[in-house]
Amino acid sequence: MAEHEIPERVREYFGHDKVALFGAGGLPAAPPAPPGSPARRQGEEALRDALSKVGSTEPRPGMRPAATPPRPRLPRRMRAAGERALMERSMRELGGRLGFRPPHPGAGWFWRSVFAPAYRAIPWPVKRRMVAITSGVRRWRT
Amino acid sequence: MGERTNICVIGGGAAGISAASMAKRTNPDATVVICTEFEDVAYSPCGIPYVLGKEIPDFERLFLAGPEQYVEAGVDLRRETAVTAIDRDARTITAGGQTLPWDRLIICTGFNYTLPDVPGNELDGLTYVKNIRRGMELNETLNDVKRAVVLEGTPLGVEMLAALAHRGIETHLVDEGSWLLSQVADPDIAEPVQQSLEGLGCILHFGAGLRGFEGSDGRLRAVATTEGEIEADICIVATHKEPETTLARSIGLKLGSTGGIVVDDRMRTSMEGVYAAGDCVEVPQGLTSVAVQGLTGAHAMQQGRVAGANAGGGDRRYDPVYIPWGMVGGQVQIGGASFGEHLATSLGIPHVVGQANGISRARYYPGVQQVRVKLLAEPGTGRLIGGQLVGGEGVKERADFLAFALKKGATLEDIAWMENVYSPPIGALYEPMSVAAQNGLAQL
Repeated sequence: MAEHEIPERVREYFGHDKVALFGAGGLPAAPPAPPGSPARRQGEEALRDALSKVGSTEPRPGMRPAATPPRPRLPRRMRAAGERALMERSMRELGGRLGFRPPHPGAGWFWRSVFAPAYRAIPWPVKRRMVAITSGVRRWRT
Repeated sequence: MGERTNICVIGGGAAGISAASMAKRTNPDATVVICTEFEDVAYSPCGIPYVLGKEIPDFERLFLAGPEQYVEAGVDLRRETAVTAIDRDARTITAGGQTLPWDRLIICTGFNYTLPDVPGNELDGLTYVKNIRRGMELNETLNDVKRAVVLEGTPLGVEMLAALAHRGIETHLVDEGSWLLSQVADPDIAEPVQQSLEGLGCILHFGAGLRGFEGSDGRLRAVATTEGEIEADICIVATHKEPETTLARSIGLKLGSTGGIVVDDRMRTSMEGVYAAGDCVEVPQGLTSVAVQGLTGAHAMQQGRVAGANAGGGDRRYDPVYIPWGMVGGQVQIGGASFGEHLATSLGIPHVVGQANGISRARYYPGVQQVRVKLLAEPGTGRLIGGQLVGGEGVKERADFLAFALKKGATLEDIAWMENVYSPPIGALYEPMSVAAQNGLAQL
Protein backbone atom coordinates (compact mmCIF):
# COMPACT_ATOMS: atom_id res chain seq x y z
CA MET A 1 0.00 0.00 0.00
CA ALA A 2 1.34 3.44 -0.89
CA GLU A 3 2.21 5.71 2.03
CA HIS A 4 -1.02 7.70 2.00
CA GLU A 5 -3.33 5.24 0.34
CA ILE A 6 -6.50 4.95 2.36
CA PRO A 7 -8.01 1.55 3.08
CA GLU A 8 -11.39 1.17 1.42
CA ARG A 9 -13.13 0.38 4.73
CA VAL A 10 -11.91 3.68 6.21
CA ARG A 11 -12.81 5.65 3.10
CA GLU A 12 -16.31 4.19 3.18
CA TYR A 13 -16.65 4.69 6.90
CA PHE A 14 -15.76 8.35 6.95
CA GLY A 15 -16.73 9.24 3.43
CA HIS A 16 -13.84 11.67 3.33
CA ASP A 17 -10.39 10.50 2.42
CA LYS A 18 -8.63 13.41 4.13
CA VAL A 19 -9.63 12.17 7.56
CA ALA A 20 -7.41 9.15 7.27
CA LEU A 21 -4.34 10.98 5.99
CA PHE A 22 -2.63 11.06 9.35
CA GLY A 23 -3.37 7.49 10.31
CA ALA A 24 -6.37 5.22 10.59
CA GLY A 25 -7.56 3.92 13.92
CA GLY A 26 -8.35 5.98 16.98
CA LEU A 27 -11.96 6.39 17.94
CA PRO A 28 -13.97 6.59 14.76
CA ALA A 29 -16.99 8.86 14.97
CA ALA A 30 -20.43 7.55 14.16
CA PRO A 31 -20.82 7.40 10.40
CA PRO A 32 -23.41 9.52 8.62
CA ALA A 33 -26.94 8.18 8.52
CA PRO A 34 -26.67 4.50 7.57
CA PRO A 35 -28.50 3.01 4.56
CA GLY A 36 -32.16 2.45 5.32
CA SER A 37 -32.33 5.10 8.06
CA PRO A 38 -34.98 7.84 7.81
CA ALA A 39 -32.30 10.47 7.15
CA ARG A 40 -30.69 8.43 4.38
CA ARG A 41 -34.08 7.73 2.80
CA GLN A 42 -34.89 11.43 2.89
CA GLY A 43 -31.57 12.20 1.22
CA GLU A 44 -32.15 9.60 -1.49
CA GLU A 45 -35.66 10.90 -2.14
CA ALA A 46 -34.36 14.45 -2.33
CA LEU A 47 -31.69 13.43 -4.82
CA ARG A 48 -34.14 11.56 -7.04
CA ASP A 49 -36.46 14.56 -7.05
CA ALA A 50 -33.66 17.05 -7.71
CA LEU A 51 -32.21 15.05 -10.59
CA SER A 52 -35.63 14.85 -12.22
CA LYS A 53 -35.77 18.64 -12.22
CA VAL A 54 -32.36 19.46 -13.64
CA GLY A 55 -32.82 21.99 -16.43
CA SER A 56 -36.50 22.49 -15.64
CA THR A 57 -37.88 26.02 -15.62
CA GLU A 58 -40.71 25.05 -13.25
CA PRO A 59 -40.60 27.34 -10.20
CA ARG A 60 -39.40 25.64 -7.03
CA PRO A 61 -38.35 26.89 -3.61
CA GLY A 62 -34.89 28.33 -3.22
CA MET A 63 -34.23 28.88 -6.92
CA ARG A 64 -33.29 32.50 -6.45
CA PRO A 65 -32.57 33.19 -2.77
CA ALA A 66 -31.40 36.73 -3.42
CA ALA A 67 -33.01 40.07 -2.88
CA THR A 68 -32.25 43.71 -3.29
CA PRO A 69 -32.76 44.99 0.25
CA PRO A 70 -35.83 47.17 0.85
CA ARG A 71 -34.88 50.84 0.94
CA PRO A 72 -33.39 51.03 4.41
CA ARG A 73 -34.25 53.61 7.00
CA LEU A 74 -31.81 56.39 7.76
CA PRO A 75 -29.95 54.69 10.66
CA ARG A 76 -29.17 51.64 8.53
CA ARG A 77 -28.12 53.72 5.53
CA MET A 78 -25.83 55.81 7.72
CA ARG A 79 -24.32 52.76 9.38
CA ALA A 80 -23.69 51.00 6.05
CA ALA A 81 -22.12 54.08 4.45
CA GLY A 82 -20.02 54.90 7.51
CA GLU A 83 -18.78 51.32 7.89
CA ARG A 84 -17.84 51.14 4.26
CA ALA A 85 -15.82 54.35 4.40
CA LEU A 86 -14.01 53.27 7.56
CA MET A 87 -13.21 49.83 6.19
CA GLU A 88 -11.95 51.23 2.91
CA ARG A 89 -9.66 53.57 4.80
CA SER A 90 -8.32 50.73 6.92
CA MET A 91 -7.80 48.55 3.83
CA ARG A 92 -5.76 51.31 2.20
CA GLU A 93 -3.62 51.68 5.29
CA LEU A 94 -3.03 48.05 6.27
CA GLY A 95 -3.12 46.60 2.79
CA GLY A 96 -0.94 49.37 1.39
CA ARG A 97 1.87 48.43 3.78
CA LEU A 98 1.80 44.86 2.49
CA GLY A 99 1.46 45.71 -1.18
CA PHE A 100 -2.23 44.82 -1.60
CA ARG A 101 -4.36 46.63 -4.16
CA PRO A 102 -6.54 49.46 -2.86
CA PRO A 103 -10.23 48.61 -2.48
CA HIS A 104 -12.78 49.64 -5.07
CA PRO A 105 -13.89 53.10 -3.89
CA GLY A 106 -17.55 52.52 -3.11
CA ALA A 107 -17.99 55.01 -0.28
CA GLY A 108 -19.26 58.41 -1.33
CA TRP A 109 -17.18 61.58 -1.14
CA PHE A 110 -18.75 62.81 2.09
CA TRP A 111 -18.21 59.53 3.91
CA ARG A 112 -14.68 59.07 2.59
CA SER A 113 -13.40 62.64 2.90
CA VAL A 114 -15.39 64.09 5.78
CA PHE A 115 -16.87 61.34 7.94
CA ALA A 116 -13.92 58.92 8.07
CA PRO A 117 -11.28 61.53 9.10
CA ALA A 118 -13.68 63.16 11.55
CA TYR A 119 -14.56 59.81 13.14
CA ARG A 120 -10.90 59.00 13.52
CA ALA A 121 -10.23 62.26 15.34
CA ILE A 122 -12.75 61.47 18.09
CA PRO A 123 -11.18 59.77 21.12
CA TRP A 124 -12.20 56.14 21.59
CA PRO A 125 -13.96 56.59 24.98
CA VAL A 126 -16.28 59.13 23.35
CA LYS A 127 -16.79 56.91 20.28
CA ARG A 128 -17.51 53.99 22.55
CA ARG A 129 -20.29 55.89 24.30
CA MET A 130 -21.68 57.06 20.96
CA VAL A 131 -21.70 53.48 19.68
CA ALA A 132 -23.40 52.18 22.83
CA ILE A 133 -26.08 54.89 22.66
CA THR A 134 -26.80 54.46 18.96
CA SER A 135 -26.46 50.68 18.71
CA GLY A 136 -30.13 50.09 19.46
CA VAL A 137 -29.19 47.21 21.75
CA ARG A 138 -31.46 47.14 24.79
CA ARG A 139 -32.34 44.61 27.47
CA TRP A 140 -29.11 42.64 27.11
CA ARG A 141 -26.78 41.46 29.83
CA THR A 142 -23.45 43.02 28.84
CA MET B 1 -47.61 19.40 33.37
CA GLY B 2 -46.88 22.23 30.95
CA GLU B 3 -49.24 24.85 29.59
CA ARG B 4 -51.32 23.80 26.56
CA THR B 5 -50.06 26.44 24.19
CA ASN B 6 -49.78 26.62 20.42
CA ILE B 7 -46.24 27.37 19.33
CA CYS B 8 -45.67 28.07 15.63
CA VAL B 9 -42.19 28.20 14.15
CA ILE B 10 -41.68 29.84 10.76
CA GLY B 11 -38.61 28.38 9.08
CA GLY B 12 -36.96 24.97 9.07
CA GLY B 13 -33.28 25.90 9.14
CA ALA B 14 -30.86 25.54 12.04
CA ALA B 15 -32.68 28.14 14.16
CA GLY B 16 -36.20 26.92 13.38
CA ILE B 17 -35.55 23.25 13.95
CA SER B 18 -33.66 23.78 17.19
CA ALA B 19 -36.34 26.23 18.39
CA ALA B 20 -39.13 23.74 17.76
CA SER B 21 -37.25 20.84 19.35
CA MET B 22 -36.40 22.91 22.42
CA ALA B 23 -39.93 24.26 22.77
CA LYS B 24 -41.34 20.73 22.73
CA ARG B 25 -38.72 19.52 25.17
CA THR B 26 -39.44 22.43 27.55
CA ASN B 27 -43.19 22.03 27.33
CA PRO B 28 -44.21 18.55 26.15
CA ASP B 29 -47.88 19.56 26.32
CA ALA B 30 -47.47 22.35 23.79
CA THR B 31 -48.59 21.92 20.19
CA VAL B 32 -45.50 22.76 18.15
CA VAL B 33 -45.80 23.36 14.42
CA ILE B 34 -42.90 24.11 12.05
CA CYS B 35 -43.74 25.57 8.65
CA THR B 36 -41.06 25.69 5.98
CA GLU B 37 -41.44 26.58 2.33
CA PHE B 38 -38.69 24.12 1.44
CA GLU B 39 -38.78 20.38 0.78
CA ASP B 40 -36.21 19.37 3.38
CA VAL B 41 -35.18 20.05 6.94
CA ALA B 42 -32.43 18.70 9.17
CA TYR B 43 -29.57 18.69 6.70
CA SER B 44 -26.29 20.56 6.69
CA PRO B 45 -26.32 23.35 4.10
CA CYS B 46 -22.75 24.16 5.12
CA GLY B 47 -21.68 20.85 3.59
CA ILE B 48 -22.99 21.69 0.11
CA PRO B 49 -19.77 23.33 -1.21
CA TYR B 50 -17.79 20.24 -0.23
CA VAL B 51 -20.07 17.92 -2.19
CA LEU B 52 -19.91 20.31 -5.16
CA GLY B 53 -16.11 20.19 -4.85
CA LYS B 54 -16.24 16.37 -4.66
CA GLU B 55 -14.53 16.30 -1.27
CA ILE B 56 -17.65 14.61 0.11
CA PRO B 57 -18.93 11.89 -2.19
CA ASP B 58 -22.69 12.46 -2.00
CA PHE B 59 -25.43 14.75 -0.79
CA GLU B 60 -27.33 12.03 1.05
CA ARG B 61 -24.92 12.01 3.93
CA LEU B 62 -25.65 15.67 4.66
CA PHE B 63 -29.07 14.64 5.93
CA LEU B 64 -29.23 14.30 9.69
CA ALA B 65 -32.83 13.22 10.24
CA GLY B 66 -35.93 12.27 8.32
CA PRO B 67 -39.37 13.86 8.73
CA GLU B 68 -40.59 10.78 10.64
CA GLN B 69 -38.24 11.66 13.49
CA TYR B 70 -40.11 14.93 14.07
CA VAL B 71 -43.43 13.13 14.14
CA GLU B 72 -42.00 10.76 16.76
CA ALA B 73 -40.84 13.77 18.79
CA GLY B 74 -44.36 15.19 18.66
CA VAL B 75 -43.56 18.10 16.37
CA ASP B 76 -45.93 18.87 13.50
CA LEU B 77 -43.53 19.45 10.61
CA ARG B 78 -45.11 20.99 7.51
CA ARG B 79 -42.79 21.02 4.55
CA GLU B 80 -43.41 22.95 1.32
CA THR B 81 -45.74 25.11 3.36
CA ALA B 82 -44.96 28.78 2.90
CA VAL B 83 -46.27 31.19 5.52
CA THR B 84 -47.83 34.04 3.60
CA ALA B 85 -49.34 36.15 6.37
CA ILE B 86 -49.33 36.74 10.10
CA ASP B 87 -52.38 38.20 11.84
CA ARG B 88 -51.05 39.90 14.96
CA ASP B 89 -54.49 40.60 16.45
CA ALA B 90 -56.11 37.23 15.85
CA ARG B 91 -52.78 35.52 16.59
CA THR B 92 -52.86 33.29 13.54
CA ILE B 93 -50.64 32.56 10.57
CA THR B 94 -51.70 31.66 7.06
CA ALA B 95 -49.63 28.69 5.94
CA GLY B 96 -50.24 26.72 2.78
CA GLY B 97 -53.73 28.19 2.59
CA GLN B 98 -54.59 27.09 6.16
CA THR B 99 -55.06 29.32 9.18
CA LEU B 100 -53.09 28.16 12.22
CA PRO B 101 -53.44 29.67 15.70
CA TRP B 102 -50.46 30.61 17.83
CA ASP B 103 -49.90 31.71 21.38
CA ARG B 104 -46.14 31.97 20.83
CA LEU B 105 -44.62 32.59 17.43
CA ILE B 106 -40.94 32.03 16.57
CA ILE B 107 -39.71 33.70 13.40
CA CYS B 108 -36.66 32.00 11.87
CA THR B 109 -36.91 33.19 8.29
CA GLY B 110 -33.17 33.26 7.64
CA PHE B 111 -31.51 35.30 4.94
CA ASN B 112 -31.25 35.97 1.23
CA TYR B 113 -28.06 36.87 -0.58
CA THR B 114 -27.87 40.56 -1.40
CA LEU B 115 -28.66 40.83 -5.09
CA PRO B 116 -26.31 43.35 -6.71
CA ASP B 117 -28.35 46.20 -8.09
CA VAL B 118 -26.65 46.19 -11.51
CA PRO B 119 -27.79 45.48 -15.08
CA GLY B 120 -28.26 41.83 -15.94
CA ASN B 121 -28.98 40.61 -12.41
CA GLU B 122 -31.95 38.61 -13.71
CA LEU B 123 -29.91 36.45 -16.11
CA ASP B 124 -29.85 32.67 -15.95
CA GLY B 125 -26.47 31.56 -14.76
CA LEU B 126 -26.47 33.66 -11.62
CA THR B 127 -26.18 30.84 -9.13
CA TYR B 128 -26.84 30.58 -5.41
CA VAL B 129 -25.60 27.95 -2.97
CA LYS B 130 -28.12 27.66 -0.15
CA ASN B 131 -30.79 25.00 -0.65
CA ILE B 132 -29.75 21.35 -0.89
CA ARG B 133 -32.03 20.29 -3.75
CA ARG B 134 -30.96 23.25 -5.83
CA GLY B 135 -27.39 22.30 -4.90
CA MET B 136 -28.02 18.80 -6.23
CA GLU B 137 -29.25 20.29 -9.51
CA LEU B 138 -26.22 22.59 -9.68
CA ASN B 139 -23.92 19.63 -9.12
CA GLU B 140 -25.20 18.01 -12.32
CA THR B 141 -24.78 21.13 -14.43
CA LEU B 142 -21.25 21.88 -13.19
CA ASN B 143 -19.89 19.16 -15.45
CA ASP B 144 -20.60 21.44 -18.42
CA VAL B 145 -19.17 24.59 -16.85
CA LYS B 146 -15.80 25.75 -18.18
CA ARG B 147 -15.47 29.17 -16.56
CA ALA B 148 -17.01 30.55 -13.38
CA VAL B 149 -16.93 33.75 -11.41
CA VAL B 150 -17.43 33.87 -7.67
CA LEU B 151 -18.77 37.21 -6.54
CA GLU B 152 -17.21 38.31 -3.25
CA GLY B 153 -14.64 36.61 -1.08
CA THR B 154 -16.96 35.82 1.80
CA PRO B 155 -16.63 32.50 3.65
CA LEU B 156 -19.01 30.84 1.17
CA GLY B 157 -17.16 32.51 -1.70
CA VAL B 158 -13.87 31.07 -0.49
CA GLU B 159 -15.35 27.58 -0.14
CA MET B 160 -16.85 27.79 -3.62
CA LEU B 161 -13.55 28.97 -5.14
CA ALA B 162 -11.87 25.83 -3.87
CA ALA B 163 -14.82 23.62 -4.84
CA LEU B 164 -14.95 24.88 -8.43
CA ALA B 165 -11.18 24.69 -8.78
CA HIS B 166 -11.32 21.07 -7.59
CA ARG B 167 -13.76 20.40 -10.42
CA GLY B 168 -11.23 21.70 -12.92
CA ILE B 169 -13.24 24.84 -13.68
CA GLU B 170 -11.42 28.09 -14.49
CA THR B 171 -12.52 30.10 -11.48
CA HIS B 172 -12.27 33.85 -10.94
CA LEU B 173 -13.02 35.84 -7.81
CA VAL B 174 -14.39 39.37 -8.14
CA ASP B 175 -14.16 41.33 -4.91
CA GLU B 176 -14.26 45.04 -4.14
CA GLY B 177 -12.01 44.60 -1.12
CA SER B 178 -8.23 44.53 -1.07
CA TRP B 179 -7.87 40.95 0.11
CA LEU B 180 -9.79 37.77 0.78
CA LEU B 181 -12.38 37.77 3.58
CA SER B 182 -11.72 41.49 4.05
CA GLN B 183 -14.97 41.90 6.00
CA VAL B 184 -13.34 40.04 8.90
CA ALA B 185 -9.75 38.98 8.25
CA ASP B 186 -6.48 40.89 8.34
CA PRO B 187 -4.37 41.02 5.17
CA ASP B 188 -1.39 39.14 6.63
CA ILE B 189 -3.71 36.42 7.95
CA ALA B 190 -5.63 36.10 4.67
CA GLU B 191 -2.50 36.06 2.49
CA PRO B 192 -1.62 32.34 2.95
CA VAL B 193 -5.19 31.43 2.01
CA GLN B 194 -4.98 33.56 -1.12
CA GLN B 195 -1.71 31.89 -2.05
CA SER B 196 -3.23 28.47 -1.52
CA LEU B 197 -6.23 29.28 -3.71
CA GLU B 198 -3.95 30.70 -6.40
CA GLY B 199 -1.99 27.46 -6.14
CA LEU B 200 -5.22 25.62 -6.93
CA GLY B 201 -5.55 27.76 -10.06
CA CYS B 202 -8.04 30.38 -8.89
CA ILE B 203 -7.66 33.84 -10.40
CA LEU B 204 -8.32 36.52 -7.80
CA HIS B 205 -9.38 40.05 -8.78
CA PHE B 206 -9.30 42.39 -5.79
CA GLY B 207 -10.31 46.04 -5.78
CA ALA B 208 -12.65 45.20 -8.64
CA GLY B 209 -16.09 46.80 -8.68
CA LEU B 210 -19.03 45.00 -10.27
CA ARG B 211 -20.51 46.87 -13.25
CA GLY B 212 -23.05 44.31 -14.41
CA PHE B 213 -23.75 40.91 -15.90
CA GLU B 214 -23.57 40.53 -19.68
CA GLY B 215 -25.72 37.94 -21.34
CA SER B 216 -27.09 36.60 -24.56
CA ASP B 217 -30.48 34.90 -24.98
CA GLY B 218 -31.19 35.49 -21.30
CA ARG B 219 -28.11 33.54 -20.23
CA LEU B 220 -24.99 34.87 -18.52
CA ARG B 221 -22.01 35.32 -20.84
CA ALA B 222 -19.66 37.51 -18.84
CA VAL B 223 -19.26 39.50 -15.66
CA ALA B 224 -18.40 43.16 -16.26
CA THR B 225 -16.09 44.71 -13.68
CA THR B 226 -14.14 47.93 -13.34
CA GLU B 227 -11.07 45.87 -14.27
CA GLY B 228 -12.61 44.49 -17.44
CA GLU B 229 -14.94 41.75 -18.57
CA ILE B 230 -14.58 38.14 -17.41
CA GLU B 231 -16.26 35.49 -19.53
CA ALA B 232 -18.24 33.07 -17.41
CA ASP B 233 -20.81 30.30 -17.76
CA ILE B 234 -22.02 30.82 -14.20
CA CYS B 235 -21.55 33.36 -11.43
CA ILE B 236 -21.82 32.18 -7.85
CA VAL B 237 -23.38 35.03 -5.90
CA ALA B 238 -21.77 34.81 -2.46
CA THR B 239 -22.69 38.25 -1.22
CA HIS B 240 -23.72 39.53 2.20
CA LYS B 241 -26.54 37.71 4.04
CA GLU B 242 -29.51 40.06 3.92
CA PRO B 243 -31.97 39.21 6.71
CA GLU B 244 -35.34 37.97 5.39
CA THR B 245 -37.79 40.16 7.28
CA THR B 246 -40.81 40.42 4.97
CA LEU B 247 -43.18 38.78 7.47
CA ALA B 248 -41.60 40.55 10.44
CA ARG B 249 -42.07 43.93 8.76
CA SER B 250 -45.67 43.07 7.86
CA ILE B 251 -46.58 42.97 11.57
CA GLY B 252 -44.45 45.94 12.50
CA LEU B 253 -41.63 44.23 14.38
CA LYS B 254 -38.78 46.58 15.17
CA LEU B 255 -35.74 46.24 12.90
CA GLY B 256 -32.25 47.40 13.82
CA SER B 257 -29.31 49.08 12.16
CA THR B 258 -28.30 45.91 10.28
CA GLY B 259 -31.81 45.36 8.95
CA GLY B 260 -32.24 42.38 11.26
CA ILE B 261 -35.08 41.91 13.75
CA VAL B 262 -34.30 43.47 17.13
CA VAL B 263 -34.44 40.92 19.95
CA ASP B 264 -33.52 40.95 23.61
CA ASP B 265 -31.40 38.37 25.39
CA ARG B 266 -34.36 36.00 25.60
CA MET B 267 -34.84 36.32 21.83
CA ARG B 268 -38.08 38.25 22.34
CA THR B 269 -38.98 40.70 19.61
CA SER B 270 -40.73 44.03 20.07
CA MET B 271 -44.11 42.23 20.12
CA GLU B 272 -45.25 40.16 23.08
CA GLY B 273 -45.36 36.44 22.39
CA VAL B 274 -43.22 36.74 19.24
CA TYR B 275 -39.65 35.46 19.26
CA ALA B 276 -37.03 35.39 16.52
CA ALA B 277 -33.70 33.65 15.97
CA GLY B 278 -31.03 32.95 13.37
CA ASP B 279 -29.91 34.96 10.38
CA CYS B 280 -32.98 37.21 10.47
CA VAL B 281 -32.07 38.78 13.84
CA GLU B 282 -29.34 41.05 15.12
CA VAL B 283 -27.52 40.57 18.43
CA PRO B 284 -24.89 42.67 20.20
CA GLN B 285 -21.16 42.08 19.83
CA GLY B 286 -19.72 41.44 23.29
CA LEU B 287 -17.05 44.12 23.49
CA THR B 288 -18.75 47.05 21.80
CA SER B 289 -22.48 46.24 21.91
CA VAL B 290 -22.59 46.99 18.18
CA ALA B 291 -25.43 44.99 16.65
CA VAL B 292 -24.28 42.24 14.29
CA GLN B 293 -26.23 39.92 12.01
CA GLY B 294 -25.67 37.03 9.61
CA LEU B 295 -23.45 34.90 11.84
CA THR B 296 -22.86 31.15 11.67
CA GLY B 297 -25.05 28.06 11.77
CA ALA B 298 -23.80 27.45 15.32
CA HIS B 299 -25.09 30.87 16.39
CA ALA B 300 -28.44 30.24 14.67
CA MET B 301 -28.80 26.89 16.42
CA GLN B 302 -28.06 28.32 19.89
CA GLN B 303 -30.36 31.29 19.34
CA GLY B 304 -33.09 28.89 18.24
CA ARG B 305 -32.65 26.84 21.41
CA VAL B 306 -32.98 29.95 23.56
CA ALA B 307 -36.06 31.15 21.67
CA GLY B 308 -37.64 27.69 21.83
CA ALA B 309 -36.97 27.26 25.54
CA ASN B 310 -38.49 30.64 26.35
CA ALA B 311 -41.47 30.16 24.03
CA GLY B 312 -42.06 26.85 25.81
CA GLY B 313 -42.25 28.61 29.17
CA GLY B 314 -38.61 28.34 30.25
CA ASP B 315 -36.16 31.10 31.10
CA ARG B 316 -32.98 31.01 29.01
CA ARG B 317 -30.71 33.87 28.05
CA TYR B 318 -28.45 34.34 25.08
CA ASP B 319 -25.22 36.19 25.68
CA PRO B 320 -23.65 38.87 23.49
CA VAL B 321 -21.41 37.29 20.88
CA TYR B 322 -17.64 37.19 20.35
CA ILE B 323 -18.05 35.31 17.07
CA PRO B 324 -15.45 32.58 16.85
CA TRP B 325 -15.07 31.77 13.18
CA GLY B 326 -12.94 29.45 11.15
CA MET B 327 -12.79 27.72 7.82
CA VAL B 328 -10.55 26.03 5.31
CA GLY B 329 -9.50 28.14 2.36
CA GLY B 330 -7.65 26.11 -0.23
CA GLN B 331 -5.44 23.96 1.96
CA VAL B 332 -5.04 26.42 4.80
CA GLN B 333 -7.15 26.92 7.90
CA ILE B 334 -8.06 30.45 8.93
CA GLY B 335 -10.08 31.75 11.84
CA GLY B 336 -10.36 34.09 14.75
CA ALA B 337 -12.68 35.70 17.24
CA SER B 338 -13.96 39.21 17.83
CA PHE B 339 -11.75 41.92 16.32
CA GLY B 340 -8.77 41.63 14.05
CA GLU B 341 -6.42 44.51 13.33
CA HIS B 342 -8.41 45.58 10.27
CA LEU B 343 -11.76 45.83 12.07
CA ALA B 344 -10.19 47.44 15.13
CA THR B 345 -8.48 50.02 12.90
CA SER B 346 -11.73 50.64 11.03
CA LEU B 347 -13.66 51.28 14.23
CA GLY B 348 -10.80 53.26 15.76
CA ILE B 349 -10.36 50.92 18.71
CA PRO B 350 -6.94 51.47 20.32
CA HIS B 351 -4.98 48.22 20.41
CA VAL B 352 -1.62 46.57 20.70
CA VAL B 353 -0.73 43.48 18.66
CA GLY B 354 1.14 40.40 19.80
CA GLN B 355 2.12 37.94 17.07
CA ALA B 356 3.85 34.60 16.85
CA ASN B 357 4.62 31.95 14.28
CA GLY B 358 4.28 28.68 16.15
CA ILE B 359 3.84 25.04 15.30
CA SER B 360 0.97 22.61 15.71
CA ARG B 361 2.93 19.56 16.87
CA ALA B 362 6.46 18.88 18.03
CA ARG B 363 8.86 20.11 15.36
CA TYR B 364 10.10 16.59 14.70
CA TYR B 365 6.67 14.96 14.50
CA PRO B 366 5.37 14.04 11.01
CA GLY B 367 2.68 16.36 9.74
CA VAL B 368 3.76 19.36 11.84
CA GLN B 369 2.28 22.59 10.49
CA GLN B 370 2.88 26.27 11.03
CA VAL B 371 0.28 28.18 13.08
CA ARG B 372 0.41 31.97 12.93
CA VAL B 373 -1.33 33.78 15.78
CA LYS B 374 -2.13 37.45 16.12
CA LEU B 375 -3.69 38.73 19.37
CA LEU B 376 -5.10 42.20 19.94
CA ALA B 377 -5.37 43.77 23.36
CA GLU B 378 -6.34 47.00 25.00
CA PRO B 379 -3.30 49.24 25.66
CA GLY B 380 -2.59 49.60 29.36
CA THR B 381 -4.82 46.84 30.74
CA GLY B 382 -3.81 44.18 28.23
CA ARG B 383 -7.39 42.94 28.09
CA LEU B 384 -7.92 40.86 24.96
CA ILE B 385 -10.10 42.38 22.25
CA GLY B 386 -9.66 39.75 19.58
CA GLY B 387 -7.35 37.55 17.60
CA GLN B 388 -6.82 35.80 14.30
CA LEU B 389 -5.04 32.64 13.25
CA VAL B 390 -3.89 30.95 10.10
CA GLY B 391 -2.19 27.60 9.72
CA GLY B 392 -2.27 24.04 8.60
CA GLU B 393 -4.22 22.68 11.56
CA GLY B 394 -5.49 23.51 15.05
CA VAL B 395 -7.23 26.76 14.14
CA LYS B 396 -10.80 25.89 15.14
CA GLU B 397 -9.99 24.89 18.73
CA ARG B 398 -7.87 27.99 19.26
CA ALA B 399 -10.60 30.26 17.84
CA ASP B 400 -13.14 28.69 20.21
CA PHE B 401 -10.74 29.10 23.13
CA LEU B 402 -10.10 32.70 22.16
CA ALA B 403 -13.82 33.52 22.10
CA PHE B 404 -14.25 31.99 25.54
CA ALA B 405 -11.21 33.86 26.88
CA LEU B 406 -12.63 37.11 25.47
CA LYS B 407 -15.99 36.47 27.08
CA LYS B 408 -14.32 35.94 30.43
CA GLY B 409 -12.25 39.11 30.12
CA ALA B 410 -8.85 37.41 29.83
CA THR B 411 -5.72 39.52 29.42
CA LEU B 412 -2.47 39.03 27.54
CA GLU B 413 -0.90 38.25 30.92
CA ASP B 414 -3.41 35.40 31.42
CA ILE B 415 -2.69 33.92 28.00
CA ALA B 416 1.07 34.43 28.30
CA TRP B 417 1.12 32.33 31.46
CA MET B 418 -1.56 29.84 30.50
CA GLU B 419 -1.09 26.11 30.90
CA ASN B 420 -1.04 24.11 27.70
CA VAL B 421 -1.01 20.54 26.46
CA TYR B 422 2.38 19.33 25.30
CA SER B 423 2.38 16.05 23.47
CA PRO B 424 4.47 15.67 20.31
CA PRO B 425 1.73 14.35 17.97
CA ILE B 426 -0.86 16.98 18.95
CA GLY B 427 0.88 19.99 20.47
CA ALA B 428 4.23 21.69 20.77
CA LEU B 429 5.96 22.64 24.00
CA TYR B 430 5.40 26.31 23.28
CA GLU B 431 1.76 27.07 22.61
CA PRO B 432 1.61 29.64 19.76
CA MET B 433 -1.18 31.61 21.52
CA SER B 434 0.95 31.92 24.62
CA VAL B 435 3.99 33.05 22.64
CA ALA B 436 1.89 35.66 20.81
CA ALA B 437 0.62 36.94 24.17
CA GLN B 438 4.18 37.14 25.54
CA ASN B 439 5.16 39.18 22.50
CA GLY B 440 2.09 41.36 23.01
CA LEU B 441 3.03 42.08 26.63
CA ALA B 442 6.17 43.76 25.36
CA GLN B 443 3.97 46.21 23.42
CA LEU B 444 1.83 47.32 26.36
